[in-house]
Amino acid sequence: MVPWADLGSVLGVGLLLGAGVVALYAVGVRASTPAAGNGRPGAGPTAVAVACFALCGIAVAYGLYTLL
Amino acid sequence: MDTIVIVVIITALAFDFTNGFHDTANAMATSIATGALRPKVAVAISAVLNLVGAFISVQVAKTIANGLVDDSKIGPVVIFGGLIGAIVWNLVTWLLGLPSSSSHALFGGLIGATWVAAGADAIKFATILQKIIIPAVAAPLIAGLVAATGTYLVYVITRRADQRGARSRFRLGQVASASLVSLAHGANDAQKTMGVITLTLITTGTLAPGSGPPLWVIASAGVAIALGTYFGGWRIIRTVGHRLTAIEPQQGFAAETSAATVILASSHLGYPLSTTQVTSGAVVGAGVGKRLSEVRWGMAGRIAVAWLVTLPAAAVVGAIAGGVAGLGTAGVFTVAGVAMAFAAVLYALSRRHRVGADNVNQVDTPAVAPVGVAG
Repeated sequence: MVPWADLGSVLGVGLLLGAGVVALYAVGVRASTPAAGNGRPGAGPTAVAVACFALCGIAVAYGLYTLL
Repeated sequence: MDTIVIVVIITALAFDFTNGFHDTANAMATSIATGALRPKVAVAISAVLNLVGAFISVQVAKTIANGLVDDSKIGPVVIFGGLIGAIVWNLVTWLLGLPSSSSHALFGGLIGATWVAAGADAIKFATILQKIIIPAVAAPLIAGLVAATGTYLVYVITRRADQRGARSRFRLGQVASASLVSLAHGANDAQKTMGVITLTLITTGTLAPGSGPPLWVIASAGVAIALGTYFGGWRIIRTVGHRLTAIEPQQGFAAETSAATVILASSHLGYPLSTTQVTSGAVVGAGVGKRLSEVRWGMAGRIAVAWLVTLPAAAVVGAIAGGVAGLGTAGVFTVAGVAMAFAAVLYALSRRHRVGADNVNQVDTPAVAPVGVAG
């Protein structure tokens, strides 16, 4: 009676994409905001941050696509 | 066009309006609570995105009752009774500041009205268990688990970051994820009103069977839900934004992103979950992910009770409204008059302790704890 497969799929996708995107964005935030007093981020961390934010943007675009 | 059809259309748009202002909190409560957006700006963005969402898809559900009742028993009077049940329950929970599911209220109202019109045999109880009760339990748990995991990871990953800069970036991310929830809400919930109006027009012969919603139906449903959203259900926004847990930008971002993902994933996988229950669960999860004791479990319990009561309460009102409306035109106008009077009383009661854009963030809750590692 309980649709375990459906619920499991939603949970799995939610954890993978939901928590995954959140973690990815957090990595971008971490890379772009060095600890106080450490000045501006270097080229490496900036590149990491841009890559993370770009991937999050792609995830949002995919979310929009699923609505259509 | 018959009088009952006109009354049903107006009532459906009124339900759509209450759906909008009841559910504004789903997308924008955390953004308003963390200061990512000013209250009026937040509801304006949400209103526009709900309007856009209404036009994104015209894939109206073939059955507005979601298979919960025998569709052949649904006529304009049953739909009218169901809508009244849903509106009344939406207004009661709005006054109490409780985020309950507008969809479940509509289904409950239709079940009650159908029961009175066609008997218990027309109700599919197994489907109610499958499509309402199990998802109602699962939605907050799944969203809560995803949000708790996301929140925990956010605090662990950013513990050494400059907190001021981090907060501003999370506020930006929060606006994006909340906007996605608004868009999804408009796409999903405006469809219900379109379906109600379209089915009414089909059952009375105004539209041919199998017709899609005319443009004026899509536009009016979109405008009604957008207006309701802009009106802002400030009481519920305050509950979700402040009374479940103290929300920081990190948590708000994790909650909204988790909610958006679960809503879109569940719809995409063919097992749609209530937007309200998903977002409320995600907010609780965001509190758990930072610190278990930060969640105000008493308020979470009150919301859970409201979810349990939504279907039967709306069903009772829908049954009474459908029964009286079934007596004829006089019955329909009596129900409409009583419903409007009831709404006016609730509005007057709400003015005693007014909650609006200017005081939605003024709550007597403990100060937000400093940012730290989850634990």
